[in-house]
Amino acid sequence: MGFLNRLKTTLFAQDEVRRRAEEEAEFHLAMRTEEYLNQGMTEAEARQKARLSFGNVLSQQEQAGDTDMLAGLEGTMRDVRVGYRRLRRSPLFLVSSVLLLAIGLGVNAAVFSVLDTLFLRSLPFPAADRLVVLNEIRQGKNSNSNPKRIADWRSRVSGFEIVASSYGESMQLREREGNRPVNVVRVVGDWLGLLGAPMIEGRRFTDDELRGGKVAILTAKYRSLARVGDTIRLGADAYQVIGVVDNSAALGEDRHVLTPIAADLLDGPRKAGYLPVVARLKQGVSIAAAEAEASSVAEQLGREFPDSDRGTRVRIVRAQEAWSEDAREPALYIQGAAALLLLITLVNLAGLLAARAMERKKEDTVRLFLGAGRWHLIRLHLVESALLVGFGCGAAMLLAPWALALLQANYGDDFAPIKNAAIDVRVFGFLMLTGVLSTLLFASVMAWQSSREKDVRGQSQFQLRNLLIVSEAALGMVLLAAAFQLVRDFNALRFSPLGFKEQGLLSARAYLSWSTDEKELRAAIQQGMEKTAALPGVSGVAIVDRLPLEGESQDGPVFIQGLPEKTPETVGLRMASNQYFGLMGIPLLAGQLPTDDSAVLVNEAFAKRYLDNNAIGRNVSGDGKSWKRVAGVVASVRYSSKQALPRPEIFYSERTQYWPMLTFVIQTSQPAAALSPTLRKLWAEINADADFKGVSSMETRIDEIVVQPRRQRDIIVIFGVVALLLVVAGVYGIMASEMMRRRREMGIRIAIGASRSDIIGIALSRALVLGVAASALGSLLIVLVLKQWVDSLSTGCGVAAILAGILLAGFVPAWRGSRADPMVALRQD
Amino acid sequence: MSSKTRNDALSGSLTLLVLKTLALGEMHGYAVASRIQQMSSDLLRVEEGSLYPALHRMEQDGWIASRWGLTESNRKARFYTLTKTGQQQLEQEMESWRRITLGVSLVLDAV
Repeated sequence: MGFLNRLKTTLFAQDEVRRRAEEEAEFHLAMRTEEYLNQGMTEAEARQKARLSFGNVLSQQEQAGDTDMLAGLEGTMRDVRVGYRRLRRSPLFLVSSVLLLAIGLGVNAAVFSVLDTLFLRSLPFPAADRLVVLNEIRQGKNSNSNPKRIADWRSRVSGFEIVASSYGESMQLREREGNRPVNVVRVVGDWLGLLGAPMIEGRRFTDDELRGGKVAILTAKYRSLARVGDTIRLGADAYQVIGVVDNSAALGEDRHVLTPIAADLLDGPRKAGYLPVVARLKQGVSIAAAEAEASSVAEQLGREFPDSDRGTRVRIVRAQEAWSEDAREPALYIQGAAALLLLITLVNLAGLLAARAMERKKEDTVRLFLGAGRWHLIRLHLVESALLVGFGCGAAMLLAPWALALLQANYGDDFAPIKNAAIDVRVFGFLMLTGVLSTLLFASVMAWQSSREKDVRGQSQFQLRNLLIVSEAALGMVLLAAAFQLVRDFNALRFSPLGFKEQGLLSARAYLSWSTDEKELRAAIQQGMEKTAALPGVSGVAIVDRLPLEGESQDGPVFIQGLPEKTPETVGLRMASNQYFGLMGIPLLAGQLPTDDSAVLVNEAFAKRYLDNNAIGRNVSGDGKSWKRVAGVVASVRYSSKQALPRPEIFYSERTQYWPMLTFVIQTSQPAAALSPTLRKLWAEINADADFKGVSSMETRIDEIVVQPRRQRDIIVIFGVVALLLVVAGVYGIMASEMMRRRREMGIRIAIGASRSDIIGIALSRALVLGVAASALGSLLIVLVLKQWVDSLSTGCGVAAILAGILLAGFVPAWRGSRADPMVALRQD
Repeated sequence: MSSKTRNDALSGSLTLLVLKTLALGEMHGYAVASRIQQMSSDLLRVEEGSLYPALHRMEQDGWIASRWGLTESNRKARFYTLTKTGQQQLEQEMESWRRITLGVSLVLDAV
């Protein structure tokens, strides 16, 4: 009978039951209030006392509904309502924790979508899992290939289905209204077939056309440049447009047109190295098998072409891996920082929730007393956490696209695939997973806290919060130390003496095509130098292949007269005019500047490494046949923002090196903006195909060059500051509630003669203990995991920052506690 | 706090007290609580928080029945009456309660 009734109630009469309970409670309260009124209480008193004696109306109602048989769904729905009401009752907590979660989860979702695109998801090409990159290794260094060797890989390695390559070039598209710079992809072999890029119109290149044919295929994004069948003029040559291809063929959104590589480059020397080798494995061929076969082909080639191919080794890696390699380090930084930030956010929230659970202890005790099972309480915590995390995830989904756009704006130029990242189902899945884990974390913290029902005001309850706050502060300290390290690294890179001066200098860049013939290039360099020097206000001009920190130009091993072998490492083979060193303030340490093209300069690193610091008059050679005499030694300057130390370099005259990406250093008192239009016009006259990149001040240009480490620093610093704020807030919370709890004790202490500063001291020493524990834990983490990246000075700075933050956070509640009137404090409870 | 200790001892016997009170006639929850307090000369106080759940449970077990009605002061209230099953239950519970209290007092007086 009872069973059937309950079943009926559960199935049909839930609302009815609840309404009835409400009405009965209302009636009861009214009667009780009346009774108290009759006893002479005021109405407010009577109402309050009635309510008190009745207990929590809310629990009553729940209790009435607790007769469920099917406790599952209906019960959970009710818990959701209860949980929502509980959250709504503290809107500040709700808003701030949802915001916290949104930031933590949103940033991680965006970072995840980037990592997913870069490393996890397969490339958007057919048979992407068989797409590989063949690295040619010479002198222990990955180096690029050339059309001849690519042809050999194609014809001799049977495990490859297709071998192809491409390189980018910026050229001038000649239109009636003038020139328009376009990005051209020069393809070698069946590049479109390799990537399986779908043709939108027209056809792919034929085998015949791939041998230097003057035909072009537009990318879909820029198909408006011409119609299929039209002829376009790129630089000096005319190309017939034969088709339009999907943008994926260009491996980037900003490429306009694809053409076969020029015929003369196809016949270029085997020594050249400017093409990556991309291949598709035949079905069923493993990477290891292909690598073994390619290695034996490499040995054959070494015997056939000892000059160029001897000692070449081969390594084959998945294309996905190879193409995201440069992104690995920044990705690691950002991923690590984002994960730490999320962890800090979660720990912080867990602390807040633990505090809430403690405050609600009374309410929960009442629930327990009224017969709510322990499991029911845990379920309530679970539901409340899930609600909170659910809101957080929702807000994170709103925030994530924004964070992703920020990442794309910062890194998209360097790592093109990032532009394809999107907040999609996979990111959603990641969020869900993180959400479920955080929910479990929160719920267990709350359950742990509230299940310790004995000892209502005892110490033990604070232990969990202490543990949470210490780990939070420790993680924050790690992030801060990393931020300090990056700031110091960046300052060392950018602001400590770089070995050259920047003031009063401009840099102008004019990039000529790599197919520019040598005579034309020399003429362009000479005219560029002369015409720029003749401009009013210009007091000096120099040319160089690349500015300091800008990265590699050409390099290779060299012969040094008197030594039997080539240098074991590659050395920088630079191009610079004599004026460069004077204008940049790079001192000549020994000898003199070369007076003719048979002499070169070496840098100090080269002289020390190979010539026992006694370089003048020694001879060096790239091929062992034509020798150059070392005329002087110049100070070493870092060539790359990635390498901490300068490398050995040889500086050749601008009349002997081939490097068409021209950078001019101009000494002038004029601002960059004033000179830019003049120079642009000048370059249009000197070489119509030059891609003039504009003029900027040397400071601006170097800033541009080091933008990557700067971005890295900025992101980690932002993360570090956010972490510090979270830690300060967390410590403030725990200290404030602790001072509240110990008010009576402090009152007694003051009453028996403790001074206010004693009280502050007691409270602060508590904060100090937290800080020291956190610092120790954080330092341990750094030593265990980040020793390579974060040195002891940065660790010390991190410790100092976190200690300062914690003490500051502890001071306010301590000061307030010390101000308390002992009489008021003692009268409490 | 002190009423709590009393209540603990009482909680097992709440059903019995409610059944017994309702045996006096139909009444609403508030009256049940007041009646118990009154009959026990203020020694027993029913925690309202457990009264209504108990009433609800007993109704579902079929021991009592209820209806909406009006009090003398014209308030809408839920009135409870004892059913036949409830009557039997009351007798059973009274019997077992007497046995228990007899047993307990024998033990207490034995020293």
